[in-house]
Amino acid sequence: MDYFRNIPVHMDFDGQHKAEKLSRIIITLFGAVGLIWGYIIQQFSQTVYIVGAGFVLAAIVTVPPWPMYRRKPLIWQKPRPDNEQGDSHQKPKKKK
Amino acid sequence: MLFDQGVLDELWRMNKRQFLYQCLSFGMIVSSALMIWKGLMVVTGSESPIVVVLSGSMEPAFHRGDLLFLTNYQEDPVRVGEIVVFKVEGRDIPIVHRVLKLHEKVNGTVKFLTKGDNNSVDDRGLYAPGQLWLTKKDVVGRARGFLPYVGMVTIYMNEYPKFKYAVLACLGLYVLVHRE
Amino acid sequence: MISVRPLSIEHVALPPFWNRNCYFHEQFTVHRSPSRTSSNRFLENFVFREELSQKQCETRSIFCSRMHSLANRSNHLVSYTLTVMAIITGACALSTRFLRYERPARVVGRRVELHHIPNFTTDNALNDFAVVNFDVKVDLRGLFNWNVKQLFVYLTAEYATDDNVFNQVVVWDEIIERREDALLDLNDVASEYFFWDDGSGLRNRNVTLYVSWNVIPVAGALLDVASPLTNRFLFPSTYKHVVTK
Repeated sequence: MDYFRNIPVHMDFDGQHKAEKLSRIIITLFGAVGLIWGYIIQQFSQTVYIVGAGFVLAAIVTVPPWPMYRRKPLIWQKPRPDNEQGDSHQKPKKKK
Repeated sequence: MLFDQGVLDELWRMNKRQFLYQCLSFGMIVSSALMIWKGLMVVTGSESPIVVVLSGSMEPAFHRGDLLFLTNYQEDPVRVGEIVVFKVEGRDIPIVHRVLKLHEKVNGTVKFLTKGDNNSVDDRGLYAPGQLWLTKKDVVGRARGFLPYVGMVTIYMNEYPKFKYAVLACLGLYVLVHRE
Repeated sequence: MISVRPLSIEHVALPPFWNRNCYFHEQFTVHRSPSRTSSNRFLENFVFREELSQKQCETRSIFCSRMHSLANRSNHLVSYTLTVMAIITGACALSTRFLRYERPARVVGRRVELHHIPNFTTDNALNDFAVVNFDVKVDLRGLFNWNVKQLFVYLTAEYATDDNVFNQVVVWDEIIERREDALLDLNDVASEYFFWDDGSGLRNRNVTLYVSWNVIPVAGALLDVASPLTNRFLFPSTYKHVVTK
């Protein structure tokens, strides 16, 4: 049971970004190629099959949390003890 | 952690105002859908501008689950070869068939007979007992546009009520819980 | 169920990453320049309001669950694929929207006979019944493109009588699904459907035969096209067969 629980299913943020971008690129590419090919041979069914193939490919490549999407794990700060004063005030420095 | 555990937390964290806001936006979606439907009714002149094909009687043109867009302009005459959607007394579900014969009187009254492409006989057996012809008042609309498969979802919903409730529950939950 | 205590900002150790590479996560994009309230909300989303005093590192696992899960990613993929599919279908429908589907179809009526017999398809009243054989010659192969699923070709007889100013009767039809089958050359074919008049007004009447086709697309507009060529002829003045009741 623990074994299954320890299977990592998440991606890190960077991987998430990559996965989504990749899936969009794959689907868009297959869609464009399918549209052009279907138009050339005048068979819309071919277009549908090509998009379907793109969907399967994208599902295989980007839905499971492959190791390539977990290369940039988050770096966490050490926990602070409760009694520490709030002077360091970890308000994030953000780009305004 | 396969599934998003945050859903319940989201609900928990929502305060009353946010909840009301979500309810309002849910109502917005429902009412705008209704508005579009009623608007289409006005534009197309048909009481049901979009229908889902439920039977295979028009195969291979239309299969179960295909979507038809209808218009029903009164000044637009019914002619042979057209695909009409009509209602028959005693039947709840409108029928989509093709006009086979048509006779028009001087005063403009039209009577016509329909037949499904995939049926070997005309529709007199489907009409109400004693009814030999259809007239304009039986017509819900004339098919003008076609979209394949999209209506399959509604067919599944009607045939498997559990599926319907699951979909509705998911949608409702999503709209209520999802925050901008 | 859960003991809840609102946390102050000071209470939480924020990981140092969040101004670097997390900007594309929806919860970060919304609150990119946090005001007082939105930063609070950010923290809500970030650590929840649970007791975190001892092991704030544990927030990490909670935080991970806030990332896109398998279900999220599948959902994105499916909805994006459907969007692309819809655009492609629209493009296909648009690409054939302005094509011309008219073609000349030659039609000739042969062997025309009239009978005056009880109409067994309706109420058994004595009606005119016509027998018409015909030739049809038309090449519809050029009509097939990637947005044509089938052609429904039909032959209409159109006439006027004293009872009805406008009558249309389909005497023959054919479903064509493939380009190879779209070259029609019919010789002296008998009508497929009964040609009954609504009454008895066919004698000495002109009738016009013409071929039309209904184009069923893969997606898009349903078109009805009639051939410009017609064949007009006169029904005989006598019945071949008369049944008197």
